[in-house]
Amino acid sequence: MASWSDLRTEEPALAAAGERLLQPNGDGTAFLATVRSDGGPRVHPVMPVLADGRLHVFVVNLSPKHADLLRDGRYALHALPPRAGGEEFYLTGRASFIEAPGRRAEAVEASGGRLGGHDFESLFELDLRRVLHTVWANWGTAEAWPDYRRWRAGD
Amino acid sequence: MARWEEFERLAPEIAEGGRNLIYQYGIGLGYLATVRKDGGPRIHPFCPIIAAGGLYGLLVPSPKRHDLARDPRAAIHALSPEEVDDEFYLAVRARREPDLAVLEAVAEVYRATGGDTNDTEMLFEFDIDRALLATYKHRGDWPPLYRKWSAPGG
Repeated sequence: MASWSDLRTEEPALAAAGERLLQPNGDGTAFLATVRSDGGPRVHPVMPVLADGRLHVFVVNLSPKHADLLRDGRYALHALPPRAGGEEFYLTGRASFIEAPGRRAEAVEASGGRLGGHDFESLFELDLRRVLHTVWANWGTAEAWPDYRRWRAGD
Repeated sequence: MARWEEFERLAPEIAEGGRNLIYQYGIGLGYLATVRKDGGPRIHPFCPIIAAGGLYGLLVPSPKRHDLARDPRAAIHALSPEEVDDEFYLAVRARREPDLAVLEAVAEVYRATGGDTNDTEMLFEFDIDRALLATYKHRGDWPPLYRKWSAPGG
């Protein structure tokens, strides 16, 4: 597992693409997949927050995905496609519940105060396992073809 | 589990709201979450297609297609609108539809919305276990109005 700052260090172009596509300032939407208690998948939108070189999400503490992340931290996150299309940004890893008030304050500040202002919003850090940035050539045509840029955290 | 047409008959308001969110950009757009071989989640965008009484996906060879062949459990979420955070979520089970006449009928509906097809797709129908429609008065409104539906016997 690795943090976002590890990705920045090892693959700065990939990290820059992720920051552009995820808009992790608490104002960008991405889709988070979690594992239900029966092992099936669940998916809902979240608003990622990058604070102190770590990627986070705030999750309502009564939501099913909150229980999913506490039980089985494995997640997959996909950025919204950009308006012009032709790119995808995807990552997987494990989420961990963050209790430290200082960490929470940093994430609230990094979201511009948009998120984390209520006690019912729990903070999770998203550790990175795999990252995939897809750039499509000839997007919007029948000849569209993907170029994959991958990164995997060292064990 | 229910086909889309049964869901539409039993929960018309949720189905209409869901259809509007799926087709808000013209072509059907959503996210499809599947179960990886190791049990973890995978998620990628795809084009849901409502046709011939069912909810379908024409899937090219891909990890998510392998996932569905191994474990049919999946979840679908429509893209969010640009102005408000309305949500449409489905817990589904995927079923390969091998009938080429059905595939062609679905592909025709898909092409009519601007989609491209080639010869590599397999057709999967998604049977619905549960549906959730969340509507907000405006961005920042909380809580939204949640409307939920579960398939009979599910």
